[in-house]
Amino acid sequence: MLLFRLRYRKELSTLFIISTASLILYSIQNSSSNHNDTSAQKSNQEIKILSLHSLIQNGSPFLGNVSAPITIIDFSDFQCYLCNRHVKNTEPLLNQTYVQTGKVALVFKHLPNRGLESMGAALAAQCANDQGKFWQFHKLLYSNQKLIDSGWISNGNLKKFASQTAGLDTQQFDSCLDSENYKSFVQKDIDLALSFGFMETPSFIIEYSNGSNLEFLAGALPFESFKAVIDKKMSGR
Amino acid sequence: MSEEKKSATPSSSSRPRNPLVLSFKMVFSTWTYIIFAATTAIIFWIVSSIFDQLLFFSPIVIFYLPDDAVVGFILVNITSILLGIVVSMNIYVFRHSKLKLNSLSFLSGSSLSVLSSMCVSCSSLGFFLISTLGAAGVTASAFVSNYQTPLRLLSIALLIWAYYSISKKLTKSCMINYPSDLKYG
Repeated sequence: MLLFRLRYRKELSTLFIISTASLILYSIQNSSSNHNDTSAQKSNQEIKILSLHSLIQNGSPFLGNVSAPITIIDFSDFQCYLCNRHVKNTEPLLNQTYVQTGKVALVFKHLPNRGLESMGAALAAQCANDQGKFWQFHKLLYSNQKLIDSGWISNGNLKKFASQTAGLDTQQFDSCLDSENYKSFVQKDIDLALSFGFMETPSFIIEYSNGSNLEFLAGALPFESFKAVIDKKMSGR
Repeated sequence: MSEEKKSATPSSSSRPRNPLVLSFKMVFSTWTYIIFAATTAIIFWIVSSIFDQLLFFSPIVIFYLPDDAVVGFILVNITSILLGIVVSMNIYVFRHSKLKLNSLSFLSGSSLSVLSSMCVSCSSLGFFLISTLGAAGVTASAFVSNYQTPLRLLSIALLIWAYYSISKKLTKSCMINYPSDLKYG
């Protein structure tokens, strides 16, 4: 009986240790989905697509100097609260430290996968970009973010947000939104994100502006994490 | 002399009669269970912090607590401590008590609490649900994201209830000499 109890205790402890260790390993693996392009070799064609010049030419909204040596490509959803966390806490520091100083250009890509209404917001943001008002509209949407799929980004509300964006031609915006002009554009962004295995928002690619030396970051990381990657790239390591 | 005797043997009123306190003292008088509880709490805290995007291991190891995550972080701390206590007490029951825990009592105890607590992390797993379940996954992940705080409160309530029910079982088994073939549901 004593032997049985001892053996039983040992098995229980082993089971406990194995299950907790596997759980923690799974989480760590999940959290550190950051890797560089050595683990995800991309073809020359894909590198060309990701160059800052191509991204701008294809109509992706961007912030910063066109000759910035480093580009951050941000895959986000307007309904995602972690993206909002990034916009409120990390983006201003990135903007102030790297974008305003001409070291980094920030490019926005759509990954509307948080809710069924996310696609509408992505289309509307591209319509605002038509008139050079993407970043104002982007800020307005994030500062008014509500519960996912609660109707806060219905077509009617998106048009209201547009009317609150200074300098935006609402008629042009409404017609662009109603005709879903940018559906295939947003779909291309989604396809690009999926080609890199991004399912999480926000997800980022930090690269040299010619589209080489890609590094992937997933999640609403703090400024220090971006700083570590950018500084490493700036120093050529 | 009688005074000395009185202080040496605590009176019945000074003894912990509350089953919650009694069972806690019973289980955590041994280091093994303190270690079990601490390990469970720390592991759950790490896993939750990773899913909540507060703890990152790459590109640098960093813990980051933005303003919008403070409430969730407090709730995760409470859940972690409660979970550690409940899991450790369940292990104690499993190893020491003559009580036979049937599957129902396991479900109503720590297993359900672990599941409900882990459900809090589902909001971060929503994307995986989307890819596998399509629109249903989107709706499920949206629900978990939108009601993250009430879900966390619910998991805390479940853990408190599990602690209470385990404490009652533990103290009952100590106080009353039930026939050995009696099962508890």
